[in-house]
Amino acid sequence: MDEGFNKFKKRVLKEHLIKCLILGVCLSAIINALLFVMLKRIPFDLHFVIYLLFFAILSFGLTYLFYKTRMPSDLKIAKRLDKTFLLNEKVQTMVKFEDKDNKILKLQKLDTENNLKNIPIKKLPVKISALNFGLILLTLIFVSTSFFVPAKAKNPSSQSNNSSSDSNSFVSTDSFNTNSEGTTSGDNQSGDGEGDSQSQDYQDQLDAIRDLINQSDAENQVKQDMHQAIDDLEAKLDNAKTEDEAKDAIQETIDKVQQIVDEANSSIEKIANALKQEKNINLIALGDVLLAKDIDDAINTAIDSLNNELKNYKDQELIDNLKDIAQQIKDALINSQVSEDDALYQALNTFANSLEEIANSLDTKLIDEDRGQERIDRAINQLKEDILNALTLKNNNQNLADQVIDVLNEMLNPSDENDGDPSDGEGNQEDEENKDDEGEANPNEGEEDDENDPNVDSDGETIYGSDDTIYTDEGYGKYGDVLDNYYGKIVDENNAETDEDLGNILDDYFASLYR
Amino acid sequence: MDKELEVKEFYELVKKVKEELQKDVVGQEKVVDDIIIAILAGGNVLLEGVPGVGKTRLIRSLSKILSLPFSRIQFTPDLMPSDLIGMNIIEKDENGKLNTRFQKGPLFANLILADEINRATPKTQSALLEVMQEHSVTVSNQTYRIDEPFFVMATENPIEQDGTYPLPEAQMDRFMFKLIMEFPSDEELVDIVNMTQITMDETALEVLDGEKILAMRNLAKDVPVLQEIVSYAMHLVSSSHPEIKNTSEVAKKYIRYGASPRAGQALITTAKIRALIQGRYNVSYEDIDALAYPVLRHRIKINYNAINEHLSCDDVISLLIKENKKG
Repeated sequence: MDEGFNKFKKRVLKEHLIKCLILGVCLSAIINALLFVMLKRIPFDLHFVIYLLFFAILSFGLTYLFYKTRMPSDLKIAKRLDKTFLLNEKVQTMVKFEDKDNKILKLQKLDTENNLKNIPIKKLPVKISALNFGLILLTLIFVSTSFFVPAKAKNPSSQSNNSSSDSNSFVSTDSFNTNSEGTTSGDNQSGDGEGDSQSQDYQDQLDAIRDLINQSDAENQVKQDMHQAIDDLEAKLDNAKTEDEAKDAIQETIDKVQQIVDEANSSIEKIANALKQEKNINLIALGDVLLAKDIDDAINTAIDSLNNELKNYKDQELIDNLKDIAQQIKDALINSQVSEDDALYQALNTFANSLEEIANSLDTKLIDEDRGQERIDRAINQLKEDILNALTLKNNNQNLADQVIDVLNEMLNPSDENDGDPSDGEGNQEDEENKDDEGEANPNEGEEDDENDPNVDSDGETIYGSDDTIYTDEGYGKYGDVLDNYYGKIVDENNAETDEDLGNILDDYFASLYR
Repeated sequence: MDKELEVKEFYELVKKVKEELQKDVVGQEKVVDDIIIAILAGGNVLLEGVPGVGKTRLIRSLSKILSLPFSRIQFTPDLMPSDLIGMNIIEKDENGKLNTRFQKGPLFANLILADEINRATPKTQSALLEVMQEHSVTVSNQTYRIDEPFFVMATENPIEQDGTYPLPEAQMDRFMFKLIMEFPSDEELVDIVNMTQITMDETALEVLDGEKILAMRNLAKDVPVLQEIVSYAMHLVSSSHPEIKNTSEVAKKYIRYGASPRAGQALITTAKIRALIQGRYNVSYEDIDALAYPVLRHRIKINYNAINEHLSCDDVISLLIKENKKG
């Protein structure tokens, strides 16, 4: 091809290269940003250099690919030149008939070449469409947004070895000497280096909370939210300059934890209220039962009543009522505005879907009525199980919240602050138990108001429930578990035998410690 | 001859023809350009115009410029086919024996002026069919070829419809171009009067002859046309047919009958000539668009919708071109 055409061709190819570069780099940046976000959420850390390398290789690859596959042909370039410079298809004709030869064609080529030579190359406007700029903008938005996506916190469960069920002994936080196997924490809290030791204590307590959360049977979302709250608290405590700031942060977290659980457990009330708005009396009754938070018998009774209602229907009436009840349940679920991930929501939704399926099968005569009733029975049983599981989960949520709040309260009001006693290493926990192995449940004096403290009997003696949480040198655990282990140790020491009297005395004593 | 020189000469000759024509015909540049294109393309031309605009004068002037044997035939209602073609006559030879001899009619010339062609009867008009297409005449099973180049230039008056016979479609299709001579402007009228006050005769001089015309025609055949432009031209022709599936909306709305394939041939042939005349060596889309009007206006029949909306044939052709470009 001639000089005139070639000069424009070079220009067009340069432009094409720039466009491919923009496209390649932008796409590569977007892919990189997506990868970055994905790895953040896993979470999985990659070194910055690897991202850079990946970006560079992908950019190059994509640019090359686009350059080669979308390279404009000579004819396309010719079309553009004809259109831009109003050459009446001269260039296209020249390109198209390049391989042919006759005298007119030669003249045509010469004429076109002269035309092109006389046109300065700058007259060809650069053709970069607005789409390219849009893509650049989109890329910038993607990339900048990717930095703001929060990384998923790593689960610190591996950090703590503490397991409540493993504790054979316990030690009060403030230590006093016990015959625990663990270390006596001694006068950790009081004493020199108070700031450092306090922050270490906070860390230990936060780790213990994390253990509690991990081992709990609460709902996953609740656990996740609580972990997030604890992570936030940890960050705030790191940044807190004064004790007051730290306490504020702890109090906030206490409120947050309760809020998390209240929100999670509010689904029962919402769904129950929504069910009570429906027409079917048995659904209304179920709503009442859920509101009353009676589990087991009452729930089963309400659900059985629904089943009995369905048994009274036959033929088309049964189909219509199945559909009607299913629809009412679904309407109630929608009106409750509860998340679809909620366990109770899912239990009722699954039940409603089952009823619809059964109705459709009956309608289309896939199954007969007997078989239909069997399936209804199965759906009813499944519903009972699901609701009970859902309610148990809600209870677990609250239990977990209670445990966590107990620990947080302990952080907020450590025992030497509460009773104002000189620290003798006297422990006092938010939860109470500090326990002598004399077995004297000696409540710490000044543990708030004894009169109001449900853990304190009329004699001023502290009474602990088996589910109450205490702090041991291996972390937080249930009082009942600790005693079991302790009792076991005593028995072991005596070679699995106890003198009957001694055994009775021990039994009585330990039993008295349980509420 | 070197092609470059030939092309230069082509351009010069055409320029000269125009100049000579303009000595006898005032204005009408577009018509003059188109008529030259038609001649060089070897096509027949139908000239339409109101009386007195110079249709006959133009063709007579042309005959002088082309220095070709010229026949002028005034079409009247009593004209017979044999008046055009010729007839066998009986004559005695030297020995007194009776022989038949074919007496050639006025069609046996290179340039035919069929004046007021629509005044002759359809029977007479159809006598032109063979000669216009095949450049030959068949009489009593004997075919007589007519010397090349051969053109028929016909004139018609669009005003008087009484005592006239519209040309049949078959004959219309044999005209490469239909050109419309508009009424001259005031300045042109002044020039006409000034010119004709001096002399009424045509003063144009000879520029071309038959051989040169044929040579120019051959030269133009080599002008390259992009396949896309050929497709564009053919699509323009086919889109004028309302009965074709997926045809243009314009055709469906405004056209009763579309153009024949001869229109497509005419478009490409004349586009090559036009490109050369304009100093280009290739056909462009602009050539096709410009030539669409003279090529299609007599081949397309508009329907009542177009008439109702006061659309002329040229208006419909414009719409067709617009629609084609969008597509």
